[in-house]
Amino acid sequence: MASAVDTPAAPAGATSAAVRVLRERFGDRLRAVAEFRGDLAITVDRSAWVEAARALREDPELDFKLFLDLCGVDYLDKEDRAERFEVALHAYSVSTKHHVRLKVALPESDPTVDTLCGVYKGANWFEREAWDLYGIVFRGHPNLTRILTHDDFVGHPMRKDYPTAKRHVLKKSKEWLLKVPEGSENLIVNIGPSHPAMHGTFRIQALMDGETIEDAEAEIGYMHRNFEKMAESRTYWQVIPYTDRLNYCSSFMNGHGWALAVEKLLGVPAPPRAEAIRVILSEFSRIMDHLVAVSTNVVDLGAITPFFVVFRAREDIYELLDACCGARLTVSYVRIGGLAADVPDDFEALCRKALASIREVTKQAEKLLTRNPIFANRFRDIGVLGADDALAYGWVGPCLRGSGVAYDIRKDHPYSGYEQYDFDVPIGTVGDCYDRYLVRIEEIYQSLRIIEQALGKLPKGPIITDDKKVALPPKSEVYSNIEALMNHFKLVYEGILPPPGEVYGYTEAANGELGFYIVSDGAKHPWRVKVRPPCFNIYQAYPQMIKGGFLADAVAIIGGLNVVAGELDR
Amino acid sequence: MPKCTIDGKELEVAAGMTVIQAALQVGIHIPHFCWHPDLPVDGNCRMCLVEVEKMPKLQIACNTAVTDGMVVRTNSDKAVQAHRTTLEFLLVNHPIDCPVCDQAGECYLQDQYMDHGLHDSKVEVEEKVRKRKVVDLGAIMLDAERCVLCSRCIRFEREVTGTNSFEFVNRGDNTQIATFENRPIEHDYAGNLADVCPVGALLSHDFRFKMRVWFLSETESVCPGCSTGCNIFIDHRDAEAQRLRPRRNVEVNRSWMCDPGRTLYKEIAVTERLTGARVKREGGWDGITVAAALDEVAAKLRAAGPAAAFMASPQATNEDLFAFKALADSLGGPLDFRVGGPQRLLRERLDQVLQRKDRNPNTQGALDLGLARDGVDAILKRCASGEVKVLLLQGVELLRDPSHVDAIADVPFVAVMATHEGPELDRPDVVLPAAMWAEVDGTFTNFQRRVQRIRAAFPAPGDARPRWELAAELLRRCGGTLAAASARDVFARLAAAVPDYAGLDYRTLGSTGRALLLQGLAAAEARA
Repeated sequence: MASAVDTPAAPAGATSAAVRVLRERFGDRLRAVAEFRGDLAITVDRSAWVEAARALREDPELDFKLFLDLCGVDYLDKEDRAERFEVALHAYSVSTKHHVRLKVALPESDPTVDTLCGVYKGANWFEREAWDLYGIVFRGHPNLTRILTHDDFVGHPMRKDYPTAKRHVLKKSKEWLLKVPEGSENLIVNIGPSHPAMHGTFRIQALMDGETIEDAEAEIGYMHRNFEKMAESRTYWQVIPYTDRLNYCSSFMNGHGWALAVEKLLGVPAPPRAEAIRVILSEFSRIMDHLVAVSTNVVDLGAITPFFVVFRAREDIYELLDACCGARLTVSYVRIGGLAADVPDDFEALCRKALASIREVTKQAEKLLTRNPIFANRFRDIGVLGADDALAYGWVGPCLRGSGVAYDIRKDHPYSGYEQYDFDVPIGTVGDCYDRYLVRIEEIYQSLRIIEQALGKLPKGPIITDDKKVALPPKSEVYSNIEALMNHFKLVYEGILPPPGEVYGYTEAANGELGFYIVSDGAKHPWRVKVRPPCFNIYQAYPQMIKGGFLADAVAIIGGLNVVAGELDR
Repeated sequence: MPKCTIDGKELEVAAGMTVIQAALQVGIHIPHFCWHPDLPVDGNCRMCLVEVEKMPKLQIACNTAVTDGMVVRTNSDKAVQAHRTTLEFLLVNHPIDCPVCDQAGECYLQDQYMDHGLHDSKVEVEEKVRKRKVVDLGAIMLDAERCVLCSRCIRFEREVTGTNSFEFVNRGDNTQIATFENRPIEHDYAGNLADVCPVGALLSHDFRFKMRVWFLSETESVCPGCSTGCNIFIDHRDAEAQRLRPRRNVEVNRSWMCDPGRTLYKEIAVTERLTGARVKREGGWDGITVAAALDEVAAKLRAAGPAAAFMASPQATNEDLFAFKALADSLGGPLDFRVGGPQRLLRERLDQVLQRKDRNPNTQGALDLGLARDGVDAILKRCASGEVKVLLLQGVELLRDPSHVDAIADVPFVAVMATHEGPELDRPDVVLPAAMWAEVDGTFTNFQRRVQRIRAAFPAPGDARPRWELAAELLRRCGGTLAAASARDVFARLAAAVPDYAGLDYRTLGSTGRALLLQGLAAAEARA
């Protein structure tokens, strides 16, 4: 297995290559270029949208091959804008290590733009989501139907003027996702949404030819709670508990990502002690998530023992989190600018206990699986997705690395002090289920290395920023003087007031790049929050991956993708 | 017209304007406590200190007139430190009351601490001077500890109501605000004292502990209490109005409103409201859908033709009145609105501050739109003589007067648009539920002939509909059309049909309205 090269993050100014190339090709159709907090955002004319995206992807100097995200934004009643809607594309170049944001403005009278499906495969589901939630029409899209809301839903819920008190009665399930061809005797099989092999509520409908899957279609949205709409009426602080419920298998990491994104927007960093503890708890959460992914995957194949073995270690991690913040699963421990409170006195002891048990159970699980011929037969050369497809879909994390692409944000764009720690990033070669399994197991060992180092040099100091506009004053102050009391009041009922602007904050969560695209208009609620959910891109490839294979293989593949409904549907 | 530069922004202002007012024109908010745009300047709080070029000491922006070529910095290091220091001094004796103080959320101290303070305290809570708390002054509550001695209440009492209720007593650290012998405030403008007080020293009794203000949404509207038409905000949460407070309009009510007007939010509450239509049958009342009720009323109207009479209401918006008149005109029957003679009281003052004797918001609108036509007495005579077969009432005014109820005793069919349950609804044969002023978009024309917009804060309860919608639906069933799908559309029709209203639309009316020409009344007399 190869290890990714350790390079520092390149400054955003270097991405002016993108600006230069686009300006040469499109002239005035390049409407605006903005740089804020190191992010580069390029706005083009509607007529240049597809070609600009293609140029970003295919120009060898730019090479933005990794499709990250595409979303709509509604700027209703914003007087400084001529058009109401905007579509924002986020992409990444593994070779140049740059992110880019490409935007296009669309008028209310005609919110239409050409589809990017021909440029990035992954755009398909994202455009469906933008249609579903905003009513933006993507010309040429092969299947522009609702994806997160029910088919009978009326209206576009993310629009700012959608009547949120409106109730819909939605009783009919969608029976047929696929058409049975004329005269065919093939059987249609539903897998999910309530199926133990679907790790969460999502659904696949497969057209079977015996044991082989001829065609497959996915239906998601069963767990859609519209986190992004909720965020629009919450303060930046109040969003934190909602982030726990994205990928709930590793909830701390979501909060970590959110806090970093908001800290990027504010320009207010967390102090070193807080960052170090965030790293420790994030790596424990990563381990937790990988243990679930691997063990539940093999439960579906009939190997039940590893599940019982590894969950013992999860219990120790839960105990650690419980001691830190009072909750096991949905922790809400992070705060903008740091952490809610300092760790308990027995933090190191609890960490070491967990480290020991993780090492033990992972070894045991490996003994049961890695060289097991049955396991190898079920996993080797099954569910192969090549690097090019993976990038086009927007695969990230262990799945992308299993397919041979060396991209790990902790190495390429280190945050929270990751540059101080020695660790390797495992990369696969085949891109099959077996590689994804090996990558996850090895990542567990590497996470243990990071935690040991971080514990060894845990700095002393404050646990949250001392910026009074961001962090609450200590309770002893709040109860004893008027200044701290007023400060507390204002921060709770009004919250943090970031400057107007937009950022894309990203971290290496357990499933890969978890991004938060935040648009602020200076008010106490964010104007727009788009979660860049790694599972969404990963699951999008699944129907294609299982076509032509056995049903049994489809079950083997899904577990290894680690699709978590909370993150998939938000 | 002197030119000046404030924080790098150049502007030209009217002669005599102070720096604080000039700064507002370019969106710069200089922190202050004692300054108020509608009260005389006092300059006691020292919070608005700014640096003026060529002047060695900082100057208070509220009492420094702009001179030509003046260069002002409101955020220089010296100014920033002055703001912080002033705030620190003001907070020395301030009690730690935020959890029990209603002002939280709209408190000058809280807001200015975040923007201009952010300092650590140097005072122990035991050292703070204690003063009187929870002093009941009638409509308002006084907490002397929270007072920052800005004297806004003193100046309000002196200048606006002329009652001089407040004074400073004691001296030095023990200075407090007080009324003589703690006597309560007895005029109709006590609510404004809670509004002008920048902190929680003077608070409304009615609103006390009811709701934290950060949960409230505000909607611009106009008070319907009398013909003055004070501009207001409706503060509401979850479709329930929690309070009304004044909205500044220099031409109408400045920053004030009267206490009777403030209480009007209580009548919007659902329990007393009419939420469904009903029709009188043999055995009693039947609840029916609004559509079915409109069908019945329209059938009667069509059969009666010119034998249908119409009584509008000066409580209705211009849009309501326009639709009602269109309906009356289409059938050809008599029309009026002047039950009780509101037009005679339209400009009569009730006190020397704001209130007028006409307790209707839109008498002027009804006059302008031509609803003073056939005479109330004439219509009542025709009712008594049996000529009128159908009587449609836009409001319950007629039904509240027993002699009028007698006069219409023999009218075979009476229908009324009403908002509240009440004994007056026993007489009519059909009751249609109407939306109230806080639930509709529309316009009122006040005593100055100023056309002002009201906006819907929340939807009407149950089946209640705007009056213009009820009239438009009846018109449609009688073969006519209003050709309007919204209040905005109705106003557009109205502006096209009424010459004095030509050229007006919701956009031009904006937030402060537009005055039409008022014959025979000097501008100064018209002002509140």
